[in-house]
This record gives sequence, structure tokens and C-alpha cells, in this order.
Amino acid sequence: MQSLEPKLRFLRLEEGYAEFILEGVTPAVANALRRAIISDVPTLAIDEVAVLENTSVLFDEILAHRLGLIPLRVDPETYEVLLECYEEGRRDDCIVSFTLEIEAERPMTVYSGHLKLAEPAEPLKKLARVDVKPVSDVIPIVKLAAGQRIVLEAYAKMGVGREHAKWQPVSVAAYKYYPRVEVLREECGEEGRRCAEACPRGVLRYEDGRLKVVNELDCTMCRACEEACPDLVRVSWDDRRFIFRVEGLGMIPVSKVIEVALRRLMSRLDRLAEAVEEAAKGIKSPEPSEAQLEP
Amino acid sequence: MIIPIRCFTCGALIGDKWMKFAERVKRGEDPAKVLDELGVKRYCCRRMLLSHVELIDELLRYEVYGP
Repeated sequence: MQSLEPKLRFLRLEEGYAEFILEGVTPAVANALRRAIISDVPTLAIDEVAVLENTSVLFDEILAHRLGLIPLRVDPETYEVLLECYEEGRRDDCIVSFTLEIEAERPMTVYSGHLKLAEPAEPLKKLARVDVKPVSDVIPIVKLAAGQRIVLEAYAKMGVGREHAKWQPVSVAAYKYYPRVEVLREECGEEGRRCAEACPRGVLRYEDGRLKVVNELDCTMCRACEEACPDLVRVSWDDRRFIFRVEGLGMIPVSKVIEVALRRLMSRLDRLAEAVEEAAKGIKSPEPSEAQLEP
Repeated sequence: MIIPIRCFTCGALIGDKWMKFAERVKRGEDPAKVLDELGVKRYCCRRMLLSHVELIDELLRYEVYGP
């Protein structure tokens, strides 16, 4: 049995993308992290829309739905305040509002960039600035013909992916086992070429009669190489090591997503421990009966 | 009707790439190349743009407002 000391090492870390190796954990733990990233990291998204006027070809509810799906970039300080609000159960107090008022003089497209940030709610006023804006300014919301009008207010609230996918901080969060590709016989002649060509990910390279593993981490463990030449390579994997790929949507940095996911996961477990302790308190262990006391 | 904001399958943002995509493909470029350059990697996201028909433009022709 290998030691189970969890370790995390980044292979790549950008604001919107992370690739890392998580080792020393069981698949259950890796999956818990994946699920927490997808469904338990609070983010901000438009949740309520007051439509004052809408003569466009889209119904109010379709418009509201489209507004909700626009990913909103939140600056780090504002995010901390909003997160605290959410975790204290006061999410209806910490609202970020937007207004949209447009009348088309000629046919036009209404973009996410047309949304204007309104006065922040009370708990956010202590911040020097509240910088919340759509991740991209050119997301089409609706197209208008000349003379059509849209006037609306949109209220963004914190929420989690479990409730609605618009609150998911990432698009892709996935992991695979750490692959191990072994070449059993390096000097192999033409058979090696067939083997290298069988791999769809370019994991193996054949050169001068030798077969080499060039980028093991790209292996998807499809075993096409094993099928092509069974006595030349062997594919296996380490089930205590995982390669994670997380692709963010730009709402908050991916590193923050991972951090918050782990923290929320741990506080959930802490609450469970407290609940167990509380539940055990009321129960008295039964007095040992005389039969049990007798040797 | 109008380009969806996110990919139905993975949830990545694709709406903001439509205008560029449509314009370049109309000019005769290879859609696969345009998608690659726009950074749309997965086939779930690629089909969103590739198979979209912007029907809202047709509807707007019947919307006559104003004087």
C-alpha cells in the first residue's frame, strides 16, 4: 500500500485553465474535488430580471434566460464580500444590478457590453470599487429592428452550479488516472512503426528501429497500441494519482475555484463531524447486562 | 433563432465568437480553420457554431416599426 499523503502539483496554471496532478488520494477524494468544483463554488450570475419594456422578437423569459447565462467577471475583493454574504445565507442582500436601455434607430444587435452596472447594494458599498462586468463585451443578447425598444433591470445574485448551470465557475472539470506506458522491447524493427502509428495521441515514437515513449501524460489508456502489437507495449495506470484538467469561464481565476471548492468541501465535512458528535450525545450506551459481565 | 450564449454540452462561452465566425465563413474561409483560430477546441462547442442558422435575421424583416 502506497502512502496516502495528498499532494498537488500544477503542470499548467493560467487564469482560465489549469492542469494539475493530484496524488496520494483515492478516486473517491478526486471525484469529490471534481464535483465540488462543478457544483459547489458560488459565483455571480443574473438571476432576476425586471422587464419594463420589450418590443423585440424574443419573449421576456428568453431574454432573461440569455442574460442569466452571461458569465460575469468579478474582481477579487468584491468576490470575497459576495462569498461571505452567500455563506451567511444573505444572498438576497448582496445583489449586483445592471440596467439595459436601448432603442434601435436602425437594425442592430444588443451586446453584453450594453449592460450598465447600477449602484451597488448596501453590503458592497464599503468597497472602494465594485468591478463586475461580462467576461466578453460582444455576446449577442438580442437583435432589434428599427424602432424596437428594450428597457430592463437585471439583478445578479450568488449561487452554485447545483442549483443552475449558469453558476458553474468552469466548463470542463475532469480527471483521469495517471497513465503508465511501458515499452517491453525497445529494439523492435518495423513492428514498432505499426505500434507508434496505432496511437491516436502520439504517445509513442518510432525512430531508427527503436520504439520510445515521448509524452506519457497524453495517453488516454485506449490501448490501441496494445492491440496493434501486444508483445511490444503495456499500458497501465496508477489509481492513486490523477491528472486534472479544469477550464474556467473567466468569472474568477481557476486557482481560486480550486481553493474555494476544497474549502467548502472541508467545511461540509466539519459540519458532518459536529452533527455526529451532537447526535451521539443524546444516546446513552446501554448498561452491560449481567450475562455480559460474567466471564 | 439567435446564437446560444453557451455550449449546450460543456457550458463554455461561444456566443461571443459567432459574429467573427459567420463573417469569415461567409467570406469563403474554411470553417474548421476559423474554429481553430477562435480557440474552439471541443467538438461539442464546434457544432454549436458550425450548425447554427441565424433565423432571427429572417424574422426581423417582418418587424416594421416606427413611422
